Amino acid sequence: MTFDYMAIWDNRDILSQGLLTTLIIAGTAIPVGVAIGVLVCMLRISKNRLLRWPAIAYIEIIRNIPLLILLFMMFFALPFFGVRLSGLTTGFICLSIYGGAYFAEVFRGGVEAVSKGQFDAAKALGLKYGFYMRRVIFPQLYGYVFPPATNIALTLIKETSLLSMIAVSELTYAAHDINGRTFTPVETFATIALIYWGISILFLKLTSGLQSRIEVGHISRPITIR
Amino acid sequence: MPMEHAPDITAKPTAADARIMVEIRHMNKWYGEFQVLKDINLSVRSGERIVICGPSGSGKSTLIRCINRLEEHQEGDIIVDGVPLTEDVKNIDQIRSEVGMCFQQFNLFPHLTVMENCLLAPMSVRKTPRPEAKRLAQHYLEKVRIPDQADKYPSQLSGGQQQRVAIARALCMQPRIMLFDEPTSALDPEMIGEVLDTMAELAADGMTMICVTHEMGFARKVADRVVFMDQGQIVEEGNPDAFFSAAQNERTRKFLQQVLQN
Repeated sequence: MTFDYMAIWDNRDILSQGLLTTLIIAGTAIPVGVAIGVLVCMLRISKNRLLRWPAIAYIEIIRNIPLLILLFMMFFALPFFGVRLSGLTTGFICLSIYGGAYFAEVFRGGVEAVSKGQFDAAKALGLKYGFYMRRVIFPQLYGYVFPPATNIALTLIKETSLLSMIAVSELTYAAHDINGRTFTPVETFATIALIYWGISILFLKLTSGLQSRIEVGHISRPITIR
Repeated sequence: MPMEHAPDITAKPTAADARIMVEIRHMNKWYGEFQVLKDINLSVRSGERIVICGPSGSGKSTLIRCINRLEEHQEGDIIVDGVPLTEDVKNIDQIRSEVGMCFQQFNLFPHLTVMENCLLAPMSVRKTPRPEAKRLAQHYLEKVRIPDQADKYPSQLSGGQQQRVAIARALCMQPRIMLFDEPTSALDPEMIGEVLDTMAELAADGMTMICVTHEMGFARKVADRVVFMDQGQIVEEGNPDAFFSAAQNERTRKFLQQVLQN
């Protein structure tokens, strides 16, 4: 067979539109997922059961359901309860809460890796909980959580392809579309595989650059209090 | 022994009429089923230097960690400078801001410089403006003889220096009481002296101190009272002279025999 470049070139608008959608979803769901992760992690490590238990339930439920089922439930089942969300919104919400559960566990692992003595010292100095978590504990766990958190973010980028199943016209959906009209599966799927690979490599470059700047002990940020 | 370098403390203030800084009454504490502290009674007056010693697992560290609520006690009263230690977060915060503590592992914040370690609490708890907090920190860093390392990170300092920074960091809160939890146990022998000297100077300034330590030379020279604990109980307490020469209790004598041999 011959490699039909024209099928790709002729449909470059669809592909770039799909790429943009993929980037928008990943670019919003990852930060929101991290935020959810921090919040749920704080609840998860709380001594108060009323705060801790919902966090455990959230983590255990979300982590043990396939993302695709989560998407289907929200997209196809929720309308029966009168909640109708667009595919894009559904995808964004699902990816965020899905990532949030994983991020929360990674952050918890980081907090537990910080030595107990750091908590003792912070408390003994009279620092308030929120303050010492933010200024003493969290800055120390970047080193521990950065690599696994990067992995989760990378997974989320690639999992955006599942949104094609609920008719979000992201990259994979665009590929389906092109393939359906031109019947060039080799060209089309090889191309988007390459694009996903490219996004991932760029993302990893970005994060490894970031990581080397915030290695523990070298955060040269002056103290500003409130 | 390291104590040879320590300043001579001859003028011990008479503690008889000073006010009570720490009062512990009938305090009991359990870890699950296991009772770690049994009917602890201890009162410490302003300016008094208490050394707590005893075999490992006797509850010494747990006892001083109860004084600033790093550990919770289940029964009895702990009153620190007139403030009862209860569930009340306001009381706990108040007590913690008046009680400084140094740990075996120093526990400096590794991502912050020496200076930032010293600024964090005064600025956030006491709301001290930065320039004033900095002056204070500089003063105490000079006091512990680490004036030129303010911009270094803890990992760039020796163990002895780190522990002295930890003392300075605690002093920056201008506490009324200092707790020391085996401050020299993690140090190389040649660094023990410098930390004990710093502590002895602090004692000479009239700081109320409660030290858990195995340094009997320090106890003999600096302490007003030595408290011996075993199996969660205060077995014996007395002034150092009486304690070291004429311990009443069999367990105390046995312990002293062992530690003084070294």
